[in-house]
Amino acid sequence: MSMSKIMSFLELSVYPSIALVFFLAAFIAVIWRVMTTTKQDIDDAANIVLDDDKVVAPRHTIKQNSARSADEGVSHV
Amino acid sequence: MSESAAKTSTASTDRASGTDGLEAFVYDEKIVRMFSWATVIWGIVAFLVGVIIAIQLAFPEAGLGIEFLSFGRLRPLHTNAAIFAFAGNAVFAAVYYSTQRLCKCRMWSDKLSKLHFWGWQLIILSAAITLPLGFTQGKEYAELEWPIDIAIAVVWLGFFGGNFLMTLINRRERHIYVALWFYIATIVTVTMLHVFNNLWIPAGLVYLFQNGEMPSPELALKSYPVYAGVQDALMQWWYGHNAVAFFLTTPFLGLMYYFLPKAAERPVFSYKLSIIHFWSLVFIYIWAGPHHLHYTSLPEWASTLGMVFSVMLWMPSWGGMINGLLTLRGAWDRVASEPILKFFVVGVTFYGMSTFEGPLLSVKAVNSLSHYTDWTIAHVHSGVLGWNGFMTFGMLYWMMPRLFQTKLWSKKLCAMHFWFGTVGMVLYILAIYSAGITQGLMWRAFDESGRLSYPAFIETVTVLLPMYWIRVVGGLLYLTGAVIGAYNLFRTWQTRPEKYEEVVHYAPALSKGPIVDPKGKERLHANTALGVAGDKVLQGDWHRALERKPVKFTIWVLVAVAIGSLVEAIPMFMVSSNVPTITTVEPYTPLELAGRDIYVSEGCYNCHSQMIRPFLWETMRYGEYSKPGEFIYDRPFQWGSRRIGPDLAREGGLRDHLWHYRHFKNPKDVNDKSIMPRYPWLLSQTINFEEIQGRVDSMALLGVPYGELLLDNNAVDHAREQADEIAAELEVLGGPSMGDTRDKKVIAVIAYLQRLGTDIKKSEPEETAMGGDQQ
Repeated sequence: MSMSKIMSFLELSVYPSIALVFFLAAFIAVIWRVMTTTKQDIDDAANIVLDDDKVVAPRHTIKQNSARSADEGVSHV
Repeated sequence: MSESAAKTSTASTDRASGTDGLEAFVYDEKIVRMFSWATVIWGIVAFLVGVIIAIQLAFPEAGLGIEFLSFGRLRPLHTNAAIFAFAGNAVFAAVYYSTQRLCKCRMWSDKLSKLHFWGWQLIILSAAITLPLGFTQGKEYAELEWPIDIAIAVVWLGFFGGNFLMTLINRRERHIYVALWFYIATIVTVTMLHVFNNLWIPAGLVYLFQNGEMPSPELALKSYPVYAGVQDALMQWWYGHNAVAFFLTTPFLGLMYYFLPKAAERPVFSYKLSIIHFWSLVFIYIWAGPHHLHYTSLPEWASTLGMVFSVMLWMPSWGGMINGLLTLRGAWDRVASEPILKFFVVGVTFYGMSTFEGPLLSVKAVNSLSHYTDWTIAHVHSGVLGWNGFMTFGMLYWMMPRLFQTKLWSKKLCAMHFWFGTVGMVLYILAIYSAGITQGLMWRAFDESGRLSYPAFIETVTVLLPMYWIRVVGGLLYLTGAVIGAYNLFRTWQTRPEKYEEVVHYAPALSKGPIVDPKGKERLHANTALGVAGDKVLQGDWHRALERKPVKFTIWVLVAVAIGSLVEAIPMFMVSSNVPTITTVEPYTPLELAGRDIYVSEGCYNCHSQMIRPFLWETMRYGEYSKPGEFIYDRPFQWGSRRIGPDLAREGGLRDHLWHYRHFKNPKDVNDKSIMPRYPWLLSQTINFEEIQGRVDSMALLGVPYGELLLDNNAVDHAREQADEIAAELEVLGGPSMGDTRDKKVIAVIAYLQRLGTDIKKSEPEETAMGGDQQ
């Protein structure tokens, strides 16, 4: 039996409902991700756009370099 | 590292470190400046061509009877210039500026950046040359012919996409900021849309392989899509709708999430909302395309699917709009004095208006009124002029003075641009909304006796002319604003320093793996790995990890957009009941095929539909409603999206050859109120009969049963015979002598028009030269 014949047996009117279920599952997963994120993580991410012209110290040397990185912050224009 | 060394390095090579593990790099500003200027220049071209064709609609003689200036050929130039040249270059400027900063590295390859820039400008130039010459695939926003399609794929994915992805991979910022997610979605999805909507057979190559020569440039550039009729329509509007979604929406949302916080000097209102906004849009948008085909021959299930998802789009879209506007919280006082913020506020507001109106128009009842009217045109222009245009201008005014390392030359001129643009836009869309609703209501109006109130289509057009003139004024104001803006930016550029300062930035490279939080996030203390893994899932770690991995992120975006596409496409292509067979429907004769190709080339679909919807007011005006099986040989489909002239689906046999001949010569000779332009060149230019065999052979390769017409140049002989018949009939009717018309293009177009919609009226298949099984 050809694939097109197999497909012809499908009841296509339920497609919108199936699609809706797909979307809801994805939506719930994303909501879950958003709700389980700490405020600190979210604020850090949101502030990237405002910090993108500043020098960032290596993460493993954050403490050592914190003073230095503040001094060397460079504005590009 | 010295400044000069840092300047010449790229992200892949600038790992030479400074002290304490810091690496030095310089952003590539030149490429951003180039794309910014291209945006300004192509913007003016797009708006100017828009004004020219708006004048032609109100005053058709403005086309001067010159083929290269006809509405059908210039309208695709206008749309392509606005979308791919103006908005496209704006997107690239935004991506190159923000990506480098958000990734804290230079673009991966300067060479790819330059190839991208010059390749894209060459593509635009090719469009500007080929479209007025009549080289078109005849599908809205996908008009460019096959060699340009290939160039687009190479430049978009190879140069732009490759460079962008490699920059992400080599970035120095762990988290991929949400603006970059929108850019990823743009690159991935536009590639998918472009490739699958542009699968074709190049007719010229078919002829070349068979005969060892190329008969004409027209055939060299001609292609036929692998899809036909209903399937072509589904693919085209899957593409068309998502070109709006992923070329005019997602990259501009990326732009918004970067430049609006910059201009407002505060972070986005809710980063959480931006995450929901992103995934909801990416997942939902791709399903919505079929709403462009309500009440057509598209199966009902696909149409409903498109409507349901279109309505769902409203919420995430407004989530994005609210997120944008609330980013200005605490800064509204600056909006009054800062024209740049004004541009952004109006731009985001128009995003909200358009994304409310889009779902509204997708509701079938509303769509039955709006479809084929100027309402759609007004909707599109509120989106492009308001959302894309104003976000672009806001970005350019914020970014270009910084790129030129100077201040904006005149804030007053900037404000003037804003007001010219705003007033122009409002005039334009209000007039065209009125035109659309007026015409839609007139089409469906019945008098007391149950007959159409306005049976003559022309009545529903001439009433719109005052609104068309208001549109001209609105367009002129918008264009004037853009010229003022260009002048202001030019004067700003003139105040640049003699030599740009190359600022060296420092940032550490990313460590190989994620930094482990010493405090730990695991709340479970069970000994099972499963428990720990499960706990991480519950905490949403899976998505945070995804946000750090550009390749995996890209793959998941592709999965999200592919699901919607496949769910629509697979049943459409595999379920034969979607396109029930009509035994009397036959392939076009060689001459009709040549005439159809001229119809496509002239862009007739820009004003005429070929789709009668199953409404009483449509069937009374045009005849039996259109069936899916009628279009199985239509490559490309020509259903159209706007009726400036009447539907032509049942045009065949309605009028004699002489009427059509006179109509092409000067439409006012047969209808003094007509606003259709003259087509005198169709009466003087000759048909290239020799290349017709190549056209027929190409269609046969796609499965069209042409039988004996494929042998011994039979298609050419058949076309000549039919042309002689029509020319002779024309002479009998009182037209010019047969000798003057038998080889003219107008004869081929008349042959095509006289065939339209006639197959369904036959009682059984006729014996033709094609013969054989029609399916």
